Amino acid sequence: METINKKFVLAILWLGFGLGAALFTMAWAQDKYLDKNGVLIFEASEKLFEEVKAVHKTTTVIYDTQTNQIASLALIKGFRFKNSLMEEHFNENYIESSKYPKAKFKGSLIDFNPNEDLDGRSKEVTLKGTIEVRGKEKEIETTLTIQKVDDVIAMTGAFEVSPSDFDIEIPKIVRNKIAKVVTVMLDFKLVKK
Amino acid sequence: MRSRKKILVILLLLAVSISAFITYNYMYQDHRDIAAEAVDYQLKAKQLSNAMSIEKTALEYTDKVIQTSGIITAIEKNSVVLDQTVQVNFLESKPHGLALDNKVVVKGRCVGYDDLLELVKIDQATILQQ
Repeated sequence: METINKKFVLAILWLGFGLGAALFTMAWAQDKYLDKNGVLIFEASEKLFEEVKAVHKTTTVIYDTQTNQIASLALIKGFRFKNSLMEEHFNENYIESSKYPKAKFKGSLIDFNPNEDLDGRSKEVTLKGTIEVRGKEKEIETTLTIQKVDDVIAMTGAFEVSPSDFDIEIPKIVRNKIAKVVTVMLDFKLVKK
Repeated sequence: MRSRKKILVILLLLAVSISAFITYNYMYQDHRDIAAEAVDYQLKAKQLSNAMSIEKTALEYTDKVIQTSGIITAIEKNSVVLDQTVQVNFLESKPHGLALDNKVVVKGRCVGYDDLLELVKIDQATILQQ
């Protein structure tokens, strides 16, 4: 009798655990939109000099429609330059990507109601958050254009940072070839996960 | 006398053009050709993901040429995910004939570990076996 009781209790426990896990994954699945191949374009070109530009095509972006929070991660080594020497210098001398392999963003959309505002038309939405590069944090605020077409939420926009925000020192010899203000453009296409 | 001057001028020109050529080649050297490089490490998708999730061992594989294999669990734009743990982005466009649940062997550059999705990212990949 006792063994049956024990088994029964165990079965109930397992059932509860399974149900909990299922609910958890369902909850997660319901409000998260995801892009594993987000595009970031980084440009610090100066007129008359060779373009200083890199493209990142595998940025991760997660948007939670319940909390309006956006989290993003770009592996520094994923930034591709046209000029391979520039790419090498960017990784080794400026960002030190072996020491700081990731650029992160955490923030949220302001005054945006995903239930009403994702109605197929394009919307201008304020994004506020913090970027972390080289272990240094920088607050940014910018406007994104957001539009939901079918099941895809498209987000595009741009923001500006400067190398000094992240304690990146540009050597004198190339100082006039690299812009003081770096423009970062983003193009994300998020799909429900 | 005159011929010596001539030779000097020619030598000087030669030296200048050689150094210009070397500088140019240094500044505009080609990108790595991952598809042509030898494989540094060969391991299964799950093993790679385990190694990359630890910061210390991750450094060993980052930026190296990796050969890895696994079952395709997702297909997107220009990428596939192997065993839900490794995201592989192809060099050019995604090869034809890739299907879910198929096993593939790929070769590419290990970019790093994405701890938001717990996913290793590989780029500039080519298919070795399909």
